Amino acid sequence: MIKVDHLSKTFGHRRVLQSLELSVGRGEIVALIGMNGAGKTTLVRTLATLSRPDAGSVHINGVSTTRDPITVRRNIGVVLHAPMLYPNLTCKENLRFYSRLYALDAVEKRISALLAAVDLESRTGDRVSTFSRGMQQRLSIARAMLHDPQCLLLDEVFTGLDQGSSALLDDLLKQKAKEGNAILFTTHEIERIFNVASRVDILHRGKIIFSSPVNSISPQQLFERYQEFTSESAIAIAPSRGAI
Amino acid sequence: MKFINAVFAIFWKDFLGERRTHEILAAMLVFTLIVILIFVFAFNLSVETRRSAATGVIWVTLCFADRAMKYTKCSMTPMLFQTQSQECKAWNR
Repeated sequence: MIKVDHLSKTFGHRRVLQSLELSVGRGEIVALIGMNGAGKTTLVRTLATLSRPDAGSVHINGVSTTRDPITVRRNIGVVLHAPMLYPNLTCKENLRFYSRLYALDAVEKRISALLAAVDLESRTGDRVSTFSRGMQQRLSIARAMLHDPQCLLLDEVFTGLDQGSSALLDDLLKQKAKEGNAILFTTHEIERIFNVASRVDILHRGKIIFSSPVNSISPQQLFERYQEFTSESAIAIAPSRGAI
Repeated sequence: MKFINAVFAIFWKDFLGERRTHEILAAMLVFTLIVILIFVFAFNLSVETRRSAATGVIWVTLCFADRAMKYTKCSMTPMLFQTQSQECKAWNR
């Protein structure tokens, strides 16, 4: 579903992604971890057609992101740091707006189902400007799933979510993966990786330096691996706190 | 048709937001007052001067209006969602 070949990206003299190789198959949930500045967000933005690669190629469902970005955009759902919501519109109006841009059918039914899935049913008529960070994040997730994309690209999607909302998102992602979607998410939370992901990749200095199925590694081993690869500059927080 | 629908959706979104906040309207009013004030001080308001300077005044106002609106308008539709319109060639970087 997602295939990245020798992807490179440079900002000025700084090489952010260096001949990166990655693939995410149908029904797979891949967690991408790495230090701040490792290139996670750049990778997600490049996959989402928001940034053009300097070299290499990205294919989503066999379609090149540089040759046919419009087709790619129809097949991806993206959550980035910015929620991409309009604060002066209500929860429902935001989703209606995006439904119109995607020219979707059965809009109200979709919206109701998604708002129920992200537990925002009781706030449908409230303006987004009155929402907390976590609620905006949940609405962003609903927005990303509105058009039933086959690939989900989620950049630090668990940030700002409380335990209940995180568990809700875990279930939602697992359900989407069961339906055959490919999911790539970046995170700093080990706990989440072991709850939801099927594979974990470590990104360091623009390269995937470690990749392993989640069921063949323990949280402690992952933490040690992470430290080993990134020891020179990593700020280590004990894995028992659930974050790296 | 899809393109028209998308245009209408963007218009409706901006209209709803503006109706609730009056953000653009307030900015327009302030900008209009500033423009009038500046040109009143800048020119001698004789009929001859007004005639010769009118075109320039309009163009300068339009240029600055464009700049002013860029900072106030909340039209932040990301190109990610421009699936219905023509291909957006504005790659970020």
